[in-house]
Parts: sequence; structure tokens; C-alpha cells
Amino acid sequence: MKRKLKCYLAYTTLLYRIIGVALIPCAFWLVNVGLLWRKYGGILRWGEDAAGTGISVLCFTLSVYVVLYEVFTDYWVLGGCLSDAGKGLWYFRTSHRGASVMGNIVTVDLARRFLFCMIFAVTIFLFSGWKESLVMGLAIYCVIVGILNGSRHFDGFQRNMGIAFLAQVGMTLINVLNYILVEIAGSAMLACLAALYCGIALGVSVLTVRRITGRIRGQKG
Amino acid sequence: MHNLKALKAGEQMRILQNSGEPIYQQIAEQFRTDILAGRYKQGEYLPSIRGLARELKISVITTMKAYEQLEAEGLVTAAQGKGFYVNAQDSEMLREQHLRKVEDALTEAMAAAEIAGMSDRELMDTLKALMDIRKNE
Amino acid sequence: MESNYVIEAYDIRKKYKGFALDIPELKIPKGFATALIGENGAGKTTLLNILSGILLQYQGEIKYFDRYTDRDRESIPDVKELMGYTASGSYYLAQWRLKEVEEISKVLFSGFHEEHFEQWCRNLEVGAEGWDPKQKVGSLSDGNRMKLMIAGVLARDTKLLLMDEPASPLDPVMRDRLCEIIREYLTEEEGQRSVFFSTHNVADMENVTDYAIIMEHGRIVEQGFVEDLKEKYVLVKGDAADAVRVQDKLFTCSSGRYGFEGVALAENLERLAGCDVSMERPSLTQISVAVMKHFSRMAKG
Repeated sequence: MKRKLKCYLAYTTLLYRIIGVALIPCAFWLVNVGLLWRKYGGILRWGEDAAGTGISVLCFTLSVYVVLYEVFTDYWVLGGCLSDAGKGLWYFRTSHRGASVMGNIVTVDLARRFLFCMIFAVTIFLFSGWKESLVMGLAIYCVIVGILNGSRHFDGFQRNMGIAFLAQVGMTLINVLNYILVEIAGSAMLACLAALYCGIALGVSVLTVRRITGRIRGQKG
Repeated sequence: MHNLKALKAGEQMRILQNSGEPIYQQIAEQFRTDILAGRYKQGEYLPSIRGLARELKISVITTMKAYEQLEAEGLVTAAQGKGFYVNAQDSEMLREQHLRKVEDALTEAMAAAEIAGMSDRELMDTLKALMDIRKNE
Repeated sequence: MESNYVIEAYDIRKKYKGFALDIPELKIPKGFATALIGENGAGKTTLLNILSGILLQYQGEIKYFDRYTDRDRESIPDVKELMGYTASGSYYLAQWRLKEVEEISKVLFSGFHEEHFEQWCRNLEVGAEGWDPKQKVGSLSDGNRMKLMIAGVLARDTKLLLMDEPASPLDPVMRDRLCEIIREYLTEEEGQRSVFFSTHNVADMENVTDYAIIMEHGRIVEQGFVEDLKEKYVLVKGDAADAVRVQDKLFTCSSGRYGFEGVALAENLERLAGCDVSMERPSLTQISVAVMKHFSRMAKG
């Protein structure tokens, strides 16, 4: 893990780490806590736990912004790394360690994103049930990483921005889907969703790392 | 015996890029003169090929060609991986070398005389006169 | 007996839309500086990218340092540790600062010495103050980015440098310095190190080129040690009156009001008998231009 972290620290800039990894996620967290604290989320509840609380539409909205933000800022870290023209990986290709170093970087990057999503989920948990929170956090992670696998094929700034906005739509759809499913099947559905998203999260993470290391080793796709 | 890193201290080598004479010949000529004049001792190594190229700001292959020419003339020998060292210049060979130079110079003089319309006789007289002047100096 | 080649490649093929690289045999001599000469679009970058392992989809076989195959290049550390590659643009990310370039390089290459890197950055005056760890790659000029890549490969223990158009973004003084650097690099381990660089401007690199490979439309059209090439070709000049008569006997010819100038193959010189021509030893630039002109004319029919 130490070496993985070292690779990540060497690869990312300090500015990105301060602003992208620390400051803005903190801001999200604060907004989240603040809004929930004021109990602005009275309308449209999703899920129902013993205490009678649930996830409000506000959390849905915030989750959409989290996805937008994560996809958008990826441009400064690994943007275009899967594209054919992307020269960002060339330097890694000239080294025999390139693939493993890049694998380390992506792993840490994914871990960081997962952590961010989980912190977001924990915040929700403070005001609602743990099952809802977990499903929410995992769903956000899956959408982010899933979208990144596509967005990294394009290295233009504007395309990246476009995809980030599309990602919002995706997250909204997932939220609506979750809402409907839980409304129909009740809280038993929550456990199923949690398991499903857990599986998807794991799969998509492994895929992400393998695709990028494969790219450096010269495999197409 | 170490490879000399560059030219010997105080040694001069002047390379003219646009003189019309190939650079490798200019280099070979200067080493030839130095070796025949005894400025390089028997067994002594010439400057390393790449070191000399660096010093003279020319390509490696050019110095290499110069050295190969010296080798073909029997002045130096290539030691695998160590460079070129100066051969024993036995008196017979030295004499041979000098004789060749004399022949070259005289041939050139004859050609010039022909152009100037000098007869053989006049040419001989000139040579004699020159030798006399040299003796009297 | 050790092989005299640092790279041997056979049947290298790569197809793009409207372009095909086709090289039946390529041998880069060990211990020398080899220039890959050709016009823009001749396929120099493609070839260099294949050799350096940047471009991985190609046909053919490559042998490195007389021992390793191109599969070894990807599977064991040796080949890539021994090779230093500089691209024609920049492969460092624009958002990296010099310090990050150093950090990443340290992670990527075991033979990378940070003190050498900083020394070379100062020596080549990469940034405003030579070495400014906070300077961003994106804020450097093209020339300085090239110098940064050069510093990056010189800071490593390599035996072969592959450089794609290293001279083009540099100013004349730096080009001269580049030639010096290449000579220094070759000198350090007499005969063990090699350099392979591409250029479309031969004149700048003429004094450092030992072996020349001339490319045209994805093919190698001429190659050889420079001193041999200078004996293979002859520069001839003559009167305008003779121009028409000799034109088809020369390799290339350009004539004007005051006479003609052309390059002939030395073996064909007797064909010029009867014409009043003067002959000269050509420069590598003159040879390259003649060869490129000749083959591009042939390609056009």
C-alpha cells in the first residue's frame, strides 16, 4: 500500500490533492450535513427505517452533483488516458514499470473515490437508516467509475465536460430507479440493491484497473 | 597503457570544414606527420576515437575512418576494444614512407614543369641549383 | 563475437489510412550516432515509436542489444531500463511541475538519478533559473520541454537513446549543444552506447551523424556510414550547355542559367565522359536531399 500511495502522490499534483481531494469534497460534506441538519428534506422520502426517517430528494440532488464533480475533475488526473492520441501514457510506456505504476495510481484513485462516496453515505446515515445510506453511497460510486471508463477515452476538455453533464442524467435515472424499486418492494429491496451495487462496484473497479494497465501493455479496448 | 582521453597536451590539430580535402584525410595526415616525426612513441595509443571526435566536434565515423587509413598504411594497429596504438616504425619502412613522399613531390614538380614548358634539362638544372643553395645555407 | 548492432529489426510493417510503413530490414550500428532522415510524413516517428515500445500494434520482429526480443522488451525490465526515449512533442503531463517529473521518473526507472536530473536541467537551462522545482511543464516553451526530456533520459543509466526530432524545437546554439551532448554520451562508455535520432533538417546534425538512414514514404531508400555515402555519391557541377545532355545520367540535377549542379553515383561517373564537369565530395545534407528528391520523383512516376 505504501508503494501504491507513493505512486499516487508522485503522479498527482499537490494543487489537485488540496483542492480536488480535500477542499471540495469537504465542502460537499458540509453542505450535505447543513441541509440535513435543517431538515429541509421533508418532502419525498425514500425508504423507511424504525425511526421513520429516510433519504430525501435533497440527498438525490446532492448525489447528482457529486457525480458531476467527480467525473469533471477527473480531467486533471487521468483525463484522456484511454484515448488513442493520449500522450499522457507514453512516458509510462517507456518504462517497464509503467503498467504497474499506473495500476497503483488508479487503485489509489479508486480507493479515494470509494472513501469519498462512503463518507457521503455516512453523512446520510446520521439522519436516516444505514441500508439506504449504503445503497446510496455504492450507487454513486458505481455511476462515477462506470462513467469514467467511458470519459477517459476522450481527451478534450469540452467533451469531458459534456460527459460530466450526461453523468448527472445517469445518476438521476439510477436514483429514480432505486426509488421506484424500493417503493414497490419495500425495505427488503434495499438489501438486494446493496448486494447488487456492491458486486457492480467491485467488478467495475477491477475492470478499471485492468483496462488502464492493459492499455499501457498495448492491449486494445 | 591507458587510452589517452584527448589530444596530448599542447598538441594542435586544425580541421578545416570547407577546405575541399576530406576531414578524415586531414586528420590522418596530421597523425601521419606526427608519427613519422617520432612525436608518438612505439606502442603509444592514439586518442580514443570518440574522445577525439568530441574534441574536434566531428562525427565518430570520420575519426574512425582516419584511423583505419593509418592502419591500412601500417602506421598503427587496432587493439580489440582498446583503440589504436603506434607500430614500431622500423627504419626500412620509414625510409619507404619518405621515399614515397619524395616521389610524390617530384612527380608534382614534373607535372608543373610540363605545363610551364620546361625541358627535362632545365628541370634538372633547377633541382641542382636548389640543392646548391640548400648546401650553402 | 559480439554483434555490432544495437537494434536489428526485420519485416516491420504498420498500416495507416493512406500510409504504410514497410521495412524489410533495419540495423542500427552499436557505438555510433545514427540519423533517421526523411521529410515530414516519411514515417520516422512511426518507426521510432515502434522501436521504443510506444506503438505496440505492428508486424515484425525486433532484436535489442543482440539479446532481447520485442516480447522481452515488454516482459523483462532490461530493455526499457537501457533505453531512453524522447518524443517529438512532450510526454510529460502539462500539469506536472519539474519536481513531479522527477518524482514520477524516480518511480518509473530504477536507473534514474535525481541529482543528475537537476544538474542537467541547470546545465541545459530548462527553466528560468535552470532548476526550479515549482515550474510547470505546461509553462515551458517547446524548446525547453525538449530539453527537459533530454535531461530526463540523460539522468538515467542507458545504453541507447532514441530521440524523435530532438533538434527541431531547439535554437541554433542549443542544437550545437545537443550535438556535443550526443558526442559526450557516446564517449563516456567508448563504443558501448548508441544514439538513434530522427531529423528532417540534416544540416544541424551533420557533424554528429555517423550512420544515416534515409526514409521516403514509409521505406528506407538509402543507408550507410556517412563516410561511405560520401564516396558513393559525387557532387558534379558543369556548364548550362551540358545540362540537358547529362540530366538523365545524374541521380538528381538542377540547372539554371549559369550552369547545373547535381549528384551522381560515383560508379556512374564514366557516363559523364566528354562533359566538362567539376566534382566535389558532397555533404550529407546534399546526399540526403538528392536521395529524397530522387525517390519522391520516382514515387510520383
